[in-house]
Amino acid sequence: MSRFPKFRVKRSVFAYPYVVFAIVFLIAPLLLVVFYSITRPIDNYSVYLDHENSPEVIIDNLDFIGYEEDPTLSESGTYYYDGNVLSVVNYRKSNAETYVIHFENGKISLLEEYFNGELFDDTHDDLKFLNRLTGFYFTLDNFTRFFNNPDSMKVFLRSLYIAFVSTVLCLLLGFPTAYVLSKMKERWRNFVSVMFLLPMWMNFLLRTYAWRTLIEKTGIINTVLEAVGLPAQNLMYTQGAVILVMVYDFLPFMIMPIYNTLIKLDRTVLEASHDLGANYYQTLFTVVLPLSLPGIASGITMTFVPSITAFAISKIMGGTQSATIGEEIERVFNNDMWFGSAMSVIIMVLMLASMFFLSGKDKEGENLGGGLI
Amino acid sequence: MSESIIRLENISVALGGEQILKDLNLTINDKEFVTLLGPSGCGKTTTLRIIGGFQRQDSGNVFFADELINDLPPYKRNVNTVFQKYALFPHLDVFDNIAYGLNIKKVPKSEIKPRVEEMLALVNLRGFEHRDVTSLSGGQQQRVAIARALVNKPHVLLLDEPLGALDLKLRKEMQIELKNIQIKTGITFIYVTHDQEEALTMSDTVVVMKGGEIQQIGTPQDIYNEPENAFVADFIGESNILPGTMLEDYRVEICGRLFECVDKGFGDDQKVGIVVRPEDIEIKPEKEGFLKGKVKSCVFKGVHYEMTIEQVNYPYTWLVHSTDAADVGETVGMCFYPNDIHVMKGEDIDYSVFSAVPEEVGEE
Amino acid sequence: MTDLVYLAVIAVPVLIALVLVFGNPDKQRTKISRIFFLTAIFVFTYLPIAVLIIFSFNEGRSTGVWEGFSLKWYKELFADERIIRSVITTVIVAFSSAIISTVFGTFASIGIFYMKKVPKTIILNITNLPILNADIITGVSLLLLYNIIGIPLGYVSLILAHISFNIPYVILSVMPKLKQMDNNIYEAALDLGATPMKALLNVVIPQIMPGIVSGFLLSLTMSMDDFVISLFTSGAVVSTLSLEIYSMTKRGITPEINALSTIIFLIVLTVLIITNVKKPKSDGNTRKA
Repeated sequence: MSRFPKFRVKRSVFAYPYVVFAIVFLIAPLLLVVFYSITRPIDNYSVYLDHENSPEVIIDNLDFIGYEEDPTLSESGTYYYDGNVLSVVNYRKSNAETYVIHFENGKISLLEEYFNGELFDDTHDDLKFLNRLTGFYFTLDNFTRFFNNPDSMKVFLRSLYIAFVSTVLCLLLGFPTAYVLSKMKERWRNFVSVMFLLPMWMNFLLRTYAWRTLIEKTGIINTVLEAVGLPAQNLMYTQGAVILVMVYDFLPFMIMPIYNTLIKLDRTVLEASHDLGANYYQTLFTVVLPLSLPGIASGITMTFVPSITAFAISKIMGGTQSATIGEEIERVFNNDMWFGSAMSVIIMVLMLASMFFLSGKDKEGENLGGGLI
Repeated sequence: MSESIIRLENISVALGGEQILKDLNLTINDKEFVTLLGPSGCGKTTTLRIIGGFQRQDSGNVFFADELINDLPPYKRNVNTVFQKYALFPHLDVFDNIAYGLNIKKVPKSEIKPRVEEMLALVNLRGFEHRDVTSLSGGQQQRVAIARALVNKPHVLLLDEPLGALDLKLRKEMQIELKNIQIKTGITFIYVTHDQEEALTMSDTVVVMKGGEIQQIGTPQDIYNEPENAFVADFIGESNILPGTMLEDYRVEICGRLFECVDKGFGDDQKVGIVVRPEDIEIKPEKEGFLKGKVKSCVFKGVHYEMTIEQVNYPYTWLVHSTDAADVGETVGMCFYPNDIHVMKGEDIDYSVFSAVPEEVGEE
Repeated sequence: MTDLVYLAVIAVPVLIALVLVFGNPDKQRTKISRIFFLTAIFVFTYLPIAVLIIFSFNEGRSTGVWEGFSLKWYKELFADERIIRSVITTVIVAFSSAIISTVFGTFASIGIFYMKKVPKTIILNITNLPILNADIITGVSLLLLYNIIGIPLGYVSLILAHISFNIPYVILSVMPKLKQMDNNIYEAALDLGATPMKALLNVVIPQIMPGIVSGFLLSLTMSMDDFVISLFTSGAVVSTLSLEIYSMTKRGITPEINALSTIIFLIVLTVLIITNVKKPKSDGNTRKA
């Protein structure tokens, strides 16, 4: 290579813009999530009372809002009045209500209402908001709240359970499907496997909705059952419905990598196994399964990990009894992105763990993106 | 007379629209080293696979020790195979690969270990027990494959061109080793190859095949010295093959000249095929030769000179191996004797296809 | 009790077939069980879709009772501005993010390929993050990012979000092709007088074109199918097809969705047929073994 001229521009510079992009859009956001998970906001609402132009303001009812007595105000919240400016500094605890200074009838009271930083009531000119500083403080409050709350834990464990069951079912159904497909004659194999994988390319919300129309009270399954004289079933909004649709949505993602691995298996190795005395079941367990482990690991990764947080499915098919953690995160995020971030971090750790555990078996994400076309 | 251990009766099979075997009949004798020899596509591998149970025949019967085994799957046949590309289990180490068959048969662990060790010693791979099979060289993998098959003490061993991927020296060593193993263990070997030298070296019986049909069966000497048709003559060793006319017993006309020969029974005035080996032709001065020809090329090959000599007034170019050299362009005489002339039944073919003379690049 | 009966009726034959399909393929019972099993899975896969399609032609609103054939839902679908707008949005977002991602990602792949081992491994692992992460995490994290930087939620934020999860798929598709490519052809091109840029465009790019194409198609698919990330990064005004469907399932659905599904299914079917019928022919030189 030394006889070639030194290139003026190293080819790897093509990647530099991407590196910048990756830092901004891939790494920074995740760091932000971690950051938000270990912080909570400090709200500081200040109101300047203009005595000159406003009628005398009576500060009334300030005592009843003794922050020491109020459990939603942390002890580091502070409440100031210096004769002109009234301000409240509030360390906002998880899911706490924030206090807004409200001026009405010459009285100032603290209103228990959450607002997102906008001026709550700006019809009073003499109420001028001074710099509303919002800071943050470090705390593990978000995490403790999650782990101490029995409801949260229930949702979390339920999500894990649903994901686990769905993955197992996908494996039970997907592996034999991939196996049978891989054993078909080459002429048919391609066509048939495409037909099985086709739904993967359809919008998954539509596929989820399709099941709803099937099993809902007025759906066709009940219509058929009633026509035959059997009682109508109430299948919607159960955990079973959620699992059913999870399996349905993720099955192609389990079949595909296993199928790709199986068709690459050397036929003569299987013949050797038979040659040495193993029947088809013995060959399956001693040769086929060990050699298809990378595909299986890939399939599990593409099924278990996403299904922990898949919330559209549980939202559409399940009721309040079967809420999943994805739903939780979505629900709280608008109100309380700190708490939502904490739950996200917990999920991230969980996923990293399962990825780490599975990645030993999967070759460099070979099956993750490739093979789809 | 050894008895037959495997018998194929009227075996026909077609694959992918092509008829590979048609009414094949073959008997394999017990404890012999039998080679199926032929060019690519002649059906030898298919025959082997049918015996092994990996390929179902369309019609015909397969007998093992006089028992019909058509429907018997491979794992129930007393046959083991050494595959062309070894087919080792990549997820098992050397020991587990070899022990695989024994484990399936639930042989006790205490018995497995010494048997595997014995095999490793036999194929010269002592100490390789826990090596990763994918890290071994081709020769080592091949030996593991052989050990893996032999450890099960099969009655018959099938070998599908097992030495094809090895370099020359290793191949020759393995040929000797395999032959020794076969003699020592008494296992019937059915060996498939397209290398005729290999077949002649190792076999007790050679089965020459072409186009799904058996061309000739015999000992290596038979095949070499008494080829029954032009194909066999051409496939085995190098020969001059040309048409001739059998005038009567012991007299044959070749290239317009009368020769005495040692064959008979072909009838009178019959068209026949003639085979003369290049090493049997002597170069003499022009006047002393039975046939005359002009030397077209003369190449020193170490063991002999290889010459192509164009026959004078007859359209045939002879291949000659001689320790005497001749100059290119010289006209010389060629002599060969009745014992060197092999007569085969006449065939309705174009004998020029079998010319032993190498073609030039660019020639049609 | 009846629940278990129903479950058993469905599950038991499937479980039996499940065991039988792995047996000796010459045996009749294996062949039958394989056909049965594949058919069962096939029905499972297509039953909901089939029902969806059939009822798109239903006269009535019901999804359970057939009231006669009608095309009215298709007409309503095309008249529904919200849906049409969301489809257009989806297509624009998908194509623009796919194109940008493909170009950006291809050059990034080339750059990454020629990096030294350590930075290469690092950047590749980072690239895997959006793929490995649940989409809700990606969505949430991008929302926080936009918050901090101050990007308003709308078209731009949405497209940027799509680009950020599409590029890794492009890189993932192109890198294997770069690895397969014979390294020397780039140098050979330079040796024959091409400038580095020309060598890249004329020699390298055509070699990795299959990877580029599949990366592009993958990006398109991922974008069109995306729901969660779009939910968090699109804001109130912009709506994609997935978001529209989702809001419909909350508000109340008409069989317009069935009509939409049918159309989408036909498109997907057509595309898959074309790509799979075309491919064997383009391998021009393969002979039958």
